[in-house]
Amino acid sequence: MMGCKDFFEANEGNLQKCKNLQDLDEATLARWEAESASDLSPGVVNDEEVLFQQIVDPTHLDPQRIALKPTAFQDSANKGLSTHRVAFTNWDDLVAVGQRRAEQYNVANPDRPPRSLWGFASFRTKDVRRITTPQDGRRAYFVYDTGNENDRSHADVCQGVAGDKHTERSIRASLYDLAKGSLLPVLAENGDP
Amino acid sequence: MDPVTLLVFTSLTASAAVTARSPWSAPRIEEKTPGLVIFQSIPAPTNLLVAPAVVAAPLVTLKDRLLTEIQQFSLGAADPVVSTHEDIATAEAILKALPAGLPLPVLMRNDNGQIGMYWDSEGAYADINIEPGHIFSFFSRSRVSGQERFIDALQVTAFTSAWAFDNLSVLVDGQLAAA
Repeated sequence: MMGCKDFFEANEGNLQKCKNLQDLDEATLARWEAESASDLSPGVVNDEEVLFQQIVDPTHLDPQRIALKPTAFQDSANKGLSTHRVAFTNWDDLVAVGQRRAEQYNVANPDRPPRSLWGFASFRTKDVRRITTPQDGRRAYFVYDTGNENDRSHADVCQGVAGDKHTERSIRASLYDLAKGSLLPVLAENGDP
Repeated sequence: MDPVTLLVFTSLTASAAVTARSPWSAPRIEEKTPGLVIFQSIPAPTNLLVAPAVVAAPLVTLKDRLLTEIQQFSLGAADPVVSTHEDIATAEAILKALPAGLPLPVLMRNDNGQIGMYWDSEGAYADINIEPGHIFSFFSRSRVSGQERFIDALQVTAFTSAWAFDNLSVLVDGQLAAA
């Protein structure tokens, strides 16, 4: 029987890996959260951990800069929403990883508006795991320790429930609410770090 | 000080104060050549007066800015991810039909070019996704009761003032109107 590590190794680089998770039942996805997804991670993500989501796409920021637009969470439904486990990194490394990610994007997408690291949104893992579907209370999101050689702190937030449109919008709104008010800019308003 | 002197003094200081406070200084007139009156430059209007050019220019409303933002979604030059003209037209129609008295949304667009818009208030969260065929779907959640409403596959023509008030008033009072 496939385990968590087998799944993530088999789906490395798969931009639809969360869609594949949605073929599995909730009990399996929850059990896998207690199994490590990567030999390069410091261990499974526990409920009390804080996760940081990089903000590199300027179109994801709301005009007041206090929330992420709902589209910022799109990756959770397909490739996995990349986050970082704050307990296993530090601010300088977070900034360096974020800036590198933005630079890689710009090289790969020269025709698109350039990205840069604006800052981070933060979540508590247990709050993400508590989000449920509106009709039947199934768990919506699962958090896995997908640390890699460049970033041991990496974790993926994956939508594990294959929902109808109402479900999709409801759980997305819940992530939106979690992120609101949590934004941490890399630079202050006056440009100071 | 005798009353007459006081009165004169007071009127002088009052007029001086008025002069000092006056936003306008009368233009100085110099007569260099008999019959030729040269005006020194007239002071520019102060912020107490609005220049005619500003008054004549139409105000750009927040809704206008949103409509401009939607139009940007079709510009492939700035970003190869473009939204279809059909979807842009649907989003524009919704925005134009949004009645005064309801808040304006924030626009959003995903990596596939799908246009959406959302509202966030103390009373509720609501969003709209634009879909092909001049269709949209609507979601709202009251922050007061937790109740949700989802309506799928609406024709853009359904977005009337009445519909908007029925479904977006939750943003104001947190109460979902009867379906």
